[in-house]
Amino acid sequence: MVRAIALRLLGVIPVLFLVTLVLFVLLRLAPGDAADLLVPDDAGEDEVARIRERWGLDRPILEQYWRFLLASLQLDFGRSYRYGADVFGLIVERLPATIELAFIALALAAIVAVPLGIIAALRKGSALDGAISVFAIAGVSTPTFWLGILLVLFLSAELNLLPSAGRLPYGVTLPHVTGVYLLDAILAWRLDLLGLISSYIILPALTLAFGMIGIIARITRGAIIDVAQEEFITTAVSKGLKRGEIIRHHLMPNAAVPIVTIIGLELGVLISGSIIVEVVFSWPGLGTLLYQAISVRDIPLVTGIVVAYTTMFIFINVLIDIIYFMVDPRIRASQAV
Amino acid sequence: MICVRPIQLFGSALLSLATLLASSALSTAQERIMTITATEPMTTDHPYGESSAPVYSMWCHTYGCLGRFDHGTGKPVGILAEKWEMIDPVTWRFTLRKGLKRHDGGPGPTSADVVHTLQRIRTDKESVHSSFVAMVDAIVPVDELTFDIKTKQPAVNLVSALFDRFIVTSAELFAKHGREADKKFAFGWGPYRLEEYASDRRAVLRKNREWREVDGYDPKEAPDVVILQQMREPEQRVTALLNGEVQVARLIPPQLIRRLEGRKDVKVEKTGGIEVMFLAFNNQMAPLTDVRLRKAVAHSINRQLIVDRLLGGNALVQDGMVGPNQFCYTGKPDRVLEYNPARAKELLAEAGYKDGGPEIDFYTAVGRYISDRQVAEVVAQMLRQTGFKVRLHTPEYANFWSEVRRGRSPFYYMGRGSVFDASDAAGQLYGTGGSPRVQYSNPKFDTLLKQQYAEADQQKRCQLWRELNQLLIDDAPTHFMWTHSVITGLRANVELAVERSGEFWLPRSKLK
Repeated sequence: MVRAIALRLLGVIPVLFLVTLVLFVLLRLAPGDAADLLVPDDAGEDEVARIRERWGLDRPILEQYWRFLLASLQLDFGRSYRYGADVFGLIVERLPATIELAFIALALAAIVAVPLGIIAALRKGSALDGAISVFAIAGVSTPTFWLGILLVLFLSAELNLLPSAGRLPYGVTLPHVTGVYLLDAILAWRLDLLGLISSYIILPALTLAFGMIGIIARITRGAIIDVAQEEFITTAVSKGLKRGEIIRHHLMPNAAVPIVTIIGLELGVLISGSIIVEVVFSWPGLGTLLYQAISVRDIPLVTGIVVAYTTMFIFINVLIDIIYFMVDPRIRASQAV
Repeated sequence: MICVRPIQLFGSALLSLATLLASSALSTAQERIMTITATEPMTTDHPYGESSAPVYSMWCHTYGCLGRFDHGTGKPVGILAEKWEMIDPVTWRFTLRKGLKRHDGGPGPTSADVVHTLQRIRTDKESVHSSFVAMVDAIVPVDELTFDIKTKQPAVNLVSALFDRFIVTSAELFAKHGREADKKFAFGWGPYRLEEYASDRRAVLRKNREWREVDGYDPKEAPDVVILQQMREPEQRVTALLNGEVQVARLIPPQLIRRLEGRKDVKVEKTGGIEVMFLAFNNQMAPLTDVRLRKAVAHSINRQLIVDRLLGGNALVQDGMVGPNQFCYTGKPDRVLEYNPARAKELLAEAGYKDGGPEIDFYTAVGRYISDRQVAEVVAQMLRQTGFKVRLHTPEYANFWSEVRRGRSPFYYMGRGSVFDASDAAGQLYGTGGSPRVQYSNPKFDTLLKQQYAEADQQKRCQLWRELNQLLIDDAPTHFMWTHSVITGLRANVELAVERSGEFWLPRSKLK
């Protein structure tokens, strides 16, 4: 197990190398010049040239890439053109907001989707199964930007139920420990703030979760139906075990692997795919940062964020492998041999 | 009449409950807080690191700038400077106000701070402000509070070029702390003190209790705390205004005004803007090198129809570089390029396109200007109706702008913001060698432009502008379209005079 994880982690190096190389080349081949976007409209060509020189944009691509590689070995991704700040620092500052949003969205999705999938599988072919399928397909098919705006219009503007943007209002002081506000509030024993923090996170989390509910519910349903057709389930039924016992002890543990897989994969998708939702809700996470960085061709920042996303994605996959190991005795057994 | 439904009451109650739960943490409950949406990126706390009118305005309120332009009266008003005068064609003398204190209790602004400011704008690697001080040759201190600004050439427009943008920062704090001064010692002399700056989120400004306007006005009714909350999506700004999250929602697009109309708790204010929108031709790229074709384009466009139908009447058709909302407008030009499709067809025929054509590529940014794509689609259609064969391109703004800046776009729709005094914008767009964006060259235009830079008599200067305006209409290097209205949504308890630039001066605002 340890060896497998170590191998996986070693694999990160060539992946990151390739990702940065492709990004570097693509961003420089793309039309649009960062220097043009950094200066005001009334700036002359000499000012643009000065900015280009300042950021090394006048040097050959290979030289720029080589410098980037050398620096990134020390976790120095350079300075953002636009923010004028250290890229690594910016990522570390924004990451907790994205992680908080992703985990809450995932929790919401899993809480709703797994029971829905189980119900649909157990009532396979019924009207309820059909209704859940329709709901699931609607979730998968709904564009997040549209749903986000709709939720804002209805729950914020029309009903005045929840705030429409941001993470916390001005005047609320919260000790910064992890940057994940819900966790920080608990750590500081400021339970009075949990409601307020949740009121800000619920709309973006719901928007993100809606699409996932469909996917997780469909996978759960399929996994349970597959396992239900296995012979050991027939044996369990023949032995006269109660329905609940069969579900808890035989059906669910064996259906867990694909469910865990999809939840894990969705977490990766969530972290890297929350860009639009973050923009719609002015959520100050990595997504907003990436959106801004791309629009102004902030190459060091775009590269840094994509490297961060890639690393997280690989890390999540390793985590899923560990969870497999824990939930599936067959995998444990095969590793032990 | 506004009906409140039970579910809305329930919603409000729930939101209030969440706020109540956090009330112990809200140390500012008694203060009058005004939240204003910020629509432009807020990316750096470097006072010269970002260039947009809202960012200039934020730093002008905190650090302080020499002065501002009151578009209502059409006159410059001092902020840190109390008087200024032109003492010869290339020298302006400024006197700073006495009795100001820095936010940390330090001394008031001095000539040394102004000299330091120019130096930092020009040499700081992160500064992107150097373009608007390009005309400045040197700043020479006369005494502690008086200094001369020497320009490279006569520049009667110096005050309008520097005011609102020349942010004065402390030489002493920078000498002590360097770049950290912007982060931990962001003290200036302005009417508000910077309390918090969180990039891409918000800036919090707290009222400087000792501030008095240059005319002695006490801003006691101005808000104690102003939060500039970044909200770049218009829908979100409107929603936040409606549910009371913000008190001022800036840059409301025309199509969203109806969500605010008919409500007692919000109001909509419209101000004539100074962002000049135009169709630009690259005068060196065939076939639009032919003035007849450029004029045919102009006669093909029914600007008033677009303003009325597409922009909801929220724009003012403009015939030249200088229009009714700008400095030195002396009335309608003698000859204008009105909508006249018959004349457009005649001009096409004269240019050798009797049977249709020419083929032209037309570019627009998307989402940069109000309804830009929709405007471009209508323009393209109007051009097709008179016989042009138009291919409309809608690249991402970064690509669009890069091509325009390098003079590689043959024909495009865009705007030029904050053009109150049009001198510098005109020089850059239409002056020979000004930039490759339009590639227009006319010695007569260059001479007149140079003359107006040196003409201290405003009446004579405006007459020169009338001639310049007419030249630009007759030669049609661009076809001027309109200036958009600046539309701002306000809660009913807010009084805020929005300038034509879209900015405002907070000490004169009121939060009841």
